[in-house]
Amino acid sequence: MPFIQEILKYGSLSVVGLEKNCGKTECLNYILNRLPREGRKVCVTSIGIDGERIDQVTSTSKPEITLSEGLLFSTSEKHYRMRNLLSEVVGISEETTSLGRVITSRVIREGKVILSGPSSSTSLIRWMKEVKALGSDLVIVDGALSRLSSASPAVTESMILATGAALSSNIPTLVAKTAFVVEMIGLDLMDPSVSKEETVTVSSMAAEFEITPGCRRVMISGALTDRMLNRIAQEKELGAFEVVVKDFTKLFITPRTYGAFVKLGGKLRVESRSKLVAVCVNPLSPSGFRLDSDTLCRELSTKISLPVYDIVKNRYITN
Amino acid sequence: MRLRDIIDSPCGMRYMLEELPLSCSFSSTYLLNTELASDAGTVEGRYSLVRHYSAILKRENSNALINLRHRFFTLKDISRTIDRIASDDTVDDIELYEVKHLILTGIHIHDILVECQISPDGIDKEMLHEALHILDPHDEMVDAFYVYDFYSAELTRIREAISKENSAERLEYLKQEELIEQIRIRGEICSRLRPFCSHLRSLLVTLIECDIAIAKGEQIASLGLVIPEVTDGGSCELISLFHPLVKSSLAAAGKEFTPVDISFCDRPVVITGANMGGKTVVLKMVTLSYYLMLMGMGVPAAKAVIPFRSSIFFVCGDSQNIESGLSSFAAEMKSIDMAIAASEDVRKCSDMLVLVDEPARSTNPLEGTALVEALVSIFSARHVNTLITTHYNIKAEGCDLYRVRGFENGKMNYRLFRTDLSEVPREALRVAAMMGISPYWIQMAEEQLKSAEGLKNN
Repeated sequence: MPFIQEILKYGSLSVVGLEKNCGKTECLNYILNRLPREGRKVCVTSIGIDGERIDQVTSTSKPEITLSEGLLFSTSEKHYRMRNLLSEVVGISEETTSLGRVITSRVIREGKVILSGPSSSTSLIRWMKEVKALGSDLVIVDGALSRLSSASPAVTESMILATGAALSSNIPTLVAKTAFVVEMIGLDLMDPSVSKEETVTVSSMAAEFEITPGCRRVMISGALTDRMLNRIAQEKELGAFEVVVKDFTKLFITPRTYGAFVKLGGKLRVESRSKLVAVCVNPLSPSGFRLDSDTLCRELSTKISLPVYDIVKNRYITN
Repeated sequence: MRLRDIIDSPCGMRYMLEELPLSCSFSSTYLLNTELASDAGTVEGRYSLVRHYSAILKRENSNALINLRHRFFTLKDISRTIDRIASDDTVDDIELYEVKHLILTGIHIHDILVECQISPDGIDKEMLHEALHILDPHDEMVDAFYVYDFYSAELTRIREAISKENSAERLEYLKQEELIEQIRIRGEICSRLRPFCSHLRSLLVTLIECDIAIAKGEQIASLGLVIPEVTDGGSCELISLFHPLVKSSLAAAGKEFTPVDISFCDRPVVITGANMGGKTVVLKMVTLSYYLMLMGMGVPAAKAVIPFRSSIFFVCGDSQNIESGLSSFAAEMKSIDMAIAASEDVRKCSDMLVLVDEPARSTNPLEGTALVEALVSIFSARHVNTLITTHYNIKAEGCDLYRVRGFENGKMNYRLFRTDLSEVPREALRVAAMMGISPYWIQMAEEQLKSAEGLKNN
């Protein structure tokens, strides 16, 4: 079974879709169905609303999150009350979302549910601690990148990326776009030897900033945009310091700007990152267009040197 | 008056609340809504709770304390859920889980207290087990809840049928049946819980007060506070009084706070002394001590004997209120006037403490002195506990005079001493010179002073 064994090495996993309709939910269902349950407690949640019956943007039908017996899950009060399964409340988190508090419960009888969990990175980290205390050894976060959620999936130890025709209907473009995100996820961690005194913190909103001599790190609080990266690339001593962002979700830069920045000797680093375990593709676009699955998997895999799977085509999905 | 009303008093009460190591998330709201004690009995009750629960702070109980904190941490204010059950409402699984969680928390805290040989007053374990049995029919003590199969034979039958059913249409019908049966059972559970509601409400209060009492005890130990002796009357004695906020900010700058001794009875006390000599801080410390006493919290002193007073009037300089269009003088006059008005009722006088920082400071010395002297005589005649700081020369009749020691060997000595001399110390120029203020200005002022005195002597 692809990548399941790999996931078990970590205590937390996020499944991140590059775009809506990239097959993230299928991927999540696949993992939930295949995880060996013996002596293991798995808890699942989502940052951003997920498991809608109908896609809230494109109105195309979406697979629901089906949870089987024994699984723990966390969702908001509103969606807990709407659940279509039998479950037992085991904890109520202090975290509140716009949909109420986050309820953690155990599935008694298999069924379907809408997941809507913590909505910020801090509350996500706190939630992870809370469910670990409830005895869960693997937490799975249904992540959102392009959605309206301030929670970053990069707080989990491992990650699975879902991409597909929804992102681009042209294979080379899709491969290039995905490969760039994979590169960003794999950025090196920041240099631990750099002290606080050698760090200059720059707000992403700052109109002007000064990089002092002797600075070894420029810390970007918030998002790093093309404009800001171009501005930093003009520094004479570009090779003397590293540019650090919280994690890859804070990067809003294009391959061209990043390429130029690196060629000029710039170094981009992250404060925290997840281990990318695998990439899953959905060759079907929401408009009905279908890419050739084998070609897509092969080309992407060659480009990123990571296993790439089309879960649907290879009939990994049982239901 | 509630704590909420005086929390932002300039005496520094907010800092004391913020430094209280509370475990439960709604303890602080509960405290803010707590009334300041209106009689000595209430204060004594609050302190006896602190003494009672402080046994848990002993070294040998450190594990129990961690457990207890963990229990408090998960405690939530579910009084609205309890109210709904009491008023014949049916609540859902989430709320029933919360009720079960409260009962389990009550039982666990009861056991922890017993283990530490602290009598768990107000927690009726038997009653809790009885209530728990409704939500936990198999006595598993598991912190989880749903409408279990064994609540009714009907529910067991429906759920068994669901697990065997294949037809979608039939399944939908069965699930509807299940829903109806669950609603019925929840209604039954709620009506069985109803007789326990008042007990659950008081359990919530008992647990919160336990958390608060333990936090007060911890604060006493960590900040070096003391439980005062509260008397019906007589003199107020505060030995080695300090201000926790000022002390901690001084400590952060590597400096030390000089504690102050002060005692007073029903004669007004007038404190004079150099600028920057800590006169205002003395008033803040006395006010703070009184408020802390009224809340049953530790007082920042080595020893404290406090006659009970519940009407505290603290008038501190910077009360200029631009919004209401009052100048600093007008705002101050109005505040003092409130104290004078209150003292017109003879019965209230013995329950009052008036603390005024440099009254009439912003007006000319001639009228200012007259205003302060008159204020002292009013409160002296009415036997109101009063503390006033001033720079004016006040006649020592009818009041006790205290003075800040002031400059000694080039350093400020903040300690107070009693004096009979009404002549105020002249240290403003020295203090200004120490601060490095323009020497030219200071020199000019000194010359002015000399020529003025020369004129006087002639």
